[in-house]
Amino acid sequence: MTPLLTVHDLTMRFGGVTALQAVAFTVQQASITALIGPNGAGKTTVFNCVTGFYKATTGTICLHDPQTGTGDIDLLEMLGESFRLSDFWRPRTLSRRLFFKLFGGPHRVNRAGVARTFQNIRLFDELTVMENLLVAQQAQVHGGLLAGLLQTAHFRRKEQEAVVRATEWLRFFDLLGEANRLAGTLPYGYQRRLEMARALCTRPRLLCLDEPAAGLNPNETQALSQLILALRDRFGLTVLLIEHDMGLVMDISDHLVVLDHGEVIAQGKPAAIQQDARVLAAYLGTGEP
Amino acid sequence: MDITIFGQQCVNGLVLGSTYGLIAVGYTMVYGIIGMINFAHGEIYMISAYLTAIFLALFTTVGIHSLPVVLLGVLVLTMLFTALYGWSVERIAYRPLRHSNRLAPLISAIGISLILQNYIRISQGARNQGVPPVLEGVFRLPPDSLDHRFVQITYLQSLIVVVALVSMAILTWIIQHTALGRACRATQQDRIMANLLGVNTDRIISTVFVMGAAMAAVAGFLVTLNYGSFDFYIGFLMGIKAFTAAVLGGIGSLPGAMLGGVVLGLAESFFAGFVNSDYKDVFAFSLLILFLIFRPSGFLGVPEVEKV
Amino acid sequence: MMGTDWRAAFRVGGVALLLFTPLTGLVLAGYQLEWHWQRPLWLAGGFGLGYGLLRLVWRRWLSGAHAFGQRAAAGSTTDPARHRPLWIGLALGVALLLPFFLDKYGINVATLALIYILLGLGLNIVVGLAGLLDLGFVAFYAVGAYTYAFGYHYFGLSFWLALPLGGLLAACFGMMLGFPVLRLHGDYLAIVTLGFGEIIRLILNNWVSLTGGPNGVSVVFPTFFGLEFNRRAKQGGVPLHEFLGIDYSANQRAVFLYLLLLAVVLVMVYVVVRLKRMPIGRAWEALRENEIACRSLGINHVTVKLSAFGLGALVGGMGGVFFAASQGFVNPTSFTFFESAHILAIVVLGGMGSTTGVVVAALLLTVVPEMLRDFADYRVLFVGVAMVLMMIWRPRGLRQRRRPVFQVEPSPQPAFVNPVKKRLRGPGGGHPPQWGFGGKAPNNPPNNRSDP
Repeated sequence: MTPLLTVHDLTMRFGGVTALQAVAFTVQQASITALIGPNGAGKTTVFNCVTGFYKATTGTICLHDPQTGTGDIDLLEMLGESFRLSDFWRPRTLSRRLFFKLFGGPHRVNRAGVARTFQNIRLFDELTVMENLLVAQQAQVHGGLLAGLLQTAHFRRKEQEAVVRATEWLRFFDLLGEANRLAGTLPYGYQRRLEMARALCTRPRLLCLDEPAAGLNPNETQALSQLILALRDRFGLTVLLIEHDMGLVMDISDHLVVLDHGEVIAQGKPAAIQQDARVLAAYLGTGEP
Repeated sequence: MDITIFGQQCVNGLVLGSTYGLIAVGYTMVYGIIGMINFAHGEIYMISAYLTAIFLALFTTVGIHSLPVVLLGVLVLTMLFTALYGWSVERIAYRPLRHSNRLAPLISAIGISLILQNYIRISQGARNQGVPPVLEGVFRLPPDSLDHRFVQITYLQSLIVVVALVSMAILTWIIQHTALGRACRATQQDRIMANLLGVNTDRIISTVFVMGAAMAAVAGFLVTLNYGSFDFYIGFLMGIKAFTAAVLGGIGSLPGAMLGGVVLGLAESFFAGFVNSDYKDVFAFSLLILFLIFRPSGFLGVPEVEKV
Repeated sequence: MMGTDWRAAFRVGGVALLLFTPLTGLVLAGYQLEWHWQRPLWLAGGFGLGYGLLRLVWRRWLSGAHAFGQRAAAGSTTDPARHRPLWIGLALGVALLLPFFLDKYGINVATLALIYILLGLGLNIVVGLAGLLDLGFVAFYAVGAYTYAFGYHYFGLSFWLALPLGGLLAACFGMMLGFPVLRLHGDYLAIVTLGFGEIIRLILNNWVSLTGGPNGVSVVFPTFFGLEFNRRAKQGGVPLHEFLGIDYSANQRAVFLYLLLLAVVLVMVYVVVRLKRMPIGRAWEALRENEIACRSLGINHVTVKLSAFGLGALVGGMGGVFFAASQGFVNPTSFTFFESAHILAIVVLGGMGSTTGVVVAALLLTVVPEMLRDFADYRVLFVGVAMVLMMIWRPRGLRQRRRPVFQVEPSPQPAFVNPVKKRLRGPGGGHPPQWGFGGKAPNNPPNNRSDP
């Protein structure tokens, strides 16, 4: 087992409120890891930190390259850290900081290989399904402005490749028939799938799913769990998910991380977690001491 | 630097700043509650200037000459009618578009501001209008100065500062201590939840527009009496300035609006007095841009945390 | 039903009466008042009656048709316009031949209309596609115009150099302004650009020693590759009409500028149409739809917005150079906020994002006021009313925009067969089993999505 993502000592404060306190966990390559916990435990905050939407107060989030074993990517640096005095005699650090201050942000985290979906679906409603998927490949396809205006052969080939890849994912998620529909007009379940397809079009190494089963009926949830398993088994994708549906979580997860009040109270295999006293206490409340 | 010139600029800045603050309240409250800029707010101010002059002339025509009665009557009438205009702006340009895309209300508000400007231009004429001088007289500090080394404060200037402070105090009291104010704050925090708890949020939003317009009317009334002349185009410049004040103080914050107004007024007045009066507007706009770049949350605002 | 309509009409009439009475019934004349008591009554009656009738008509006939129209528009995104080439050809032919049938005044109006089309197309990129409200577009227009004016006045710059230079300079200004502001909440951009527009105008007005202040700067007319349009060339050159061996006519220069501008507009139309189908254009629209989602997909929202903003500014600057050339003179009065509002109105009435719409709206808003000189006072009022109505009635434009249609390769099997049997290749080259989400009937979606 090789780790893909290491979160270490992650602390997040909003003003005076400490939302996360020294959270640490690792996500193994080609595994399914679930973040669970009662409402308000800080799951979504962890998610937003990992995907770069929140800038953690302290701690490290590191994405490893399993092929080479080296070349770790510091996901926090990409959000633009504040300058320190010591930077001024280290021009290299200074210029890196300055660069990420100016051009950093969540998009860099995505380009490093982390894709996500949202709890409340965020599609481009006025764009077609296919366009939604093409937008996701923006970072990879970008031909020059001139090439696009003149429709050079290179540009058309790149465009075609993007359409082909989008088509593959549409087929995987069984959305092929909807390719030219406006995304906003799709039924709810379709929108959930489209959002996953769109995240996958960015060619991530780590796919983060924020409550993917929310609002789905049992049949759909069942199908979803098969899809997530297929992503791991067929494509070697690593999945990190937040989910409230314990049935789904226990079925498919390799590893569970339980959060409560912003702290990791337990982690391990699903079977072990089910027996953990602290987890039971967190979910069911403690009995009289 | 001469201390009296400095003092005079302070007075001018404070007076100017009080009026900015009064108008900025309208921006900041509307922004707080619906998260949008009311682009027609400057025109509301302009309307109030016209209403002030009209009611003043009306009182004279009717034959009421007692100064306190006239001033109070004109102020109340101006506030009422301006508030009605504020209400209408919300009803026409904002409410039908509550669930539309983000740009739509802004564009319709710009449309409304074009409409109001030209409605006044057509109905009242494009020429400069004015009011006769009222409440003439000055305080001098120090009072027994022999040469020209004194700071001069007109009665009207002191009236402006006092009225501005009083109306701000009343507004703050309403927001902090009444049921209406509580409903406003609840709507500002979470509109959907407030609605679920039985707050008629549509009505609250209307009320906020009405209150903002009434405060702009106070400003319009005071400035019109003070400067004496105005035209149908004054709302544009005043609108941007007051918005700048709102940003300086931290948009969404009520005390911030007043603070921002005073700071902007002082800064502008010092710039005009000691650097260059031709470029005081450029200076104010540059201040707006600089603040938005370096400190978008202003003096008293809280930085926005994006909800993902 | 009728009762409620008339009660609503009464309410509207009553409010209108209150609104109009002091401001139209009492007119300031010096410190005195003129009484026009009949004006508020007429206005209030008109508003009340109009509102009542509108409601009635709406309920009776239009609401059904309206809803149907929307549904049809949403569904028919793939419907191709059959007569499109014909219309384009016809319009092009008219546009090409038009200057030869118009007098000088007519050509000037047509040139102005083309300038507004150009500006509309530029702003359409910013507002319509990228969803950024730019209220200071006129600043970039001014930068372009004054680049040509100063360039000629101080450095003897020719039109042909000023055209790209004006555009680039405007784009630079746009980038400098946009880079810090575009990371903020969208509405701030509107007010910052508004302020920027005023700054530019005030500087042009006040810095008399450089800009000539309100008196403006005169501009030389462009040459045709060094050949002048005058009856006699200035510095011993050859005027164009002698070079071509045709008679001199005062119209020639206007026709030339018109045709040149037409060419630029056509190029611009092509560019905009292409951009919508290019990655960058899609990214703009995606940003307009959902910025957070964009960032989660690796799109740098600041630079992508900046590209739209800068490109818009570039077009605005080029429009300014043309404006300066056609007027032969620039001064700050051409660059007030109203000009920005006018260009915005073109984009809004054209239907935000629609190229054809912008062209039609620009023509309407330029040519109609010239024809209806008697109503000149009411022009801006109508523009404002049209903007408000358009936003309330059809914020997405009169017509749903056609989206590009993509041919997905015909799958060997229809999409809705038994999911277990189906074997389709995923992107990694493996053979994942095909799992549908069950419950495929689109008529019965499990729609418990909370309202966002």
